[in-house]
Amino acid sequence: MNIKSRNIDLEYYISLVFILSLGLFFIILAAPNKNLQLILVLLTTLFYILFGIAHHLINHDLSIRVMIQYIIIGALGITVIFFFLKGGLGL
Amino acid sequence: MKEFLHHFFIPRESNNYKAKLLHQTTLLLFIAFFIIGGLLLNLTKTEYPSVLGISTDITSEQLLTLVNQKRQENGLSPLSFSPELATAARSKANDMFSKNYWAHNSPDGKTPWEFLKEAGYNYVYAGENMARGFNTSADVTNAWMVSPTHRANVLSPNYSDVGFAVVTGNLSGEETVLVVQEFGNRALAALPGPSERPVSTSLNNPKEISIEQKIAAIPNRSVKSSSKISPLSEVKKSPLIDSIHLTTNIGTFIIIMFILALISETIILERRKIVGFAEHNPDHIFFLVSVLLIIVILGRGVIL
Repeated sequence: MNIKSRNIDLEYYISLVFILSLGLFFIILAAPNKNLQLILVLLTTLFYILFGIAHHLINHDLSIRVMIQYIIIGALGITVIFFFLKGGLGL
Repeated sequence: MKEFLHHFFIPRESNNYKAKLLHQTTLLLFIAFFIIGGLLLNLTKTEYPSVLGISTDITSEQLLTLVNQKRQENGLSPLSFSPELATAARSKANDMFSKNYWAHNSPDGKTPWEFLKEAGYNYVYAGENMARGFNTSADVTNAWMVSPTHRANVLSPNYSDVGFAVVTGNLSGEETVLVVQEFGNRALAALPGPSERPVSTSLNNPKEISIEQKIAAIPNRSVKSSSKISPLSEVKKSPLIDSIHLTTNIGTFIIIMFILALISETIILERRKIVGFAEHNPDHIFFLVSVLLIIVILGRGVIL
């Protein structure tokens, strides 16, 4: 990995953390409206998936396997939250 | 067993340098587990509430004790329990459930002070704190004490009486425990001088009416303290298994397991200079940490 690529990665990670933090901030603001919070959770996850895919597209190393990996990890996050909301809070 | 755990968590030749836990099939199995598990737990909660449910222990007595404890710690006199204020608090809670809102003023513009007047409490000073989604009286009181405006109400020297309502109901499709706390003072002699008047609070927080308004608003009719509604309210539920703790613990444990597997994969493959999918791991770690934080946020109670 060269210096330019490392710089791109650093900028990408900073942007990703910023987007995720922004998502968390809006989820806190949306309380106690659980429906709105759920929409924001879905949007944050969608951003994470699209942002990851875009990053690999820019780095010219995007493959179906990479895309699937982001989608599956995103789905895992969503289903954990579903598990908590449905099974724990009973929504 | 050791061999199995290594295969499951550590990237090596036997698992094609990717921890078995992070293989797509394993991830899909966990996704299925969370969907089916969530639905089954929900069904169990509905069918057998004594076995699985949200454990709650909030009572007026506990809240009164805790609030007075906080006041005494700050050198203030304790508040007296007022049945009228408790009635007003209960009416406010019922109004929120029936009109489906979560605010100090109702959608049709009814203020908290009108509930006080309806309950027959002739106030000079009045204030309101609310909470929802908490499980214990201590959690509610602590949340109020952390918020500067709610804390100001709890520790205000201008109040002499307090009343609580702890009511369960459905608010915006969510089964919720609402706590309404009404403060008041009807003793004109207790009015502080102009320099001691409390600073007004922000719009969406408990308000205190100006002296002029308060005096003008005092109704002349006498108050009957023997209300038909029981002044003491409580919500106590102790199912065998607390569903929030159960799902939080399972979810957190599994997510932490994934985070650790991703970290170990990143470190091991970096050390061995093996180029692979570990390059994407920081993204996934950041995302999964966010998921843990989201669970904490969603499970928190809210005050107003």
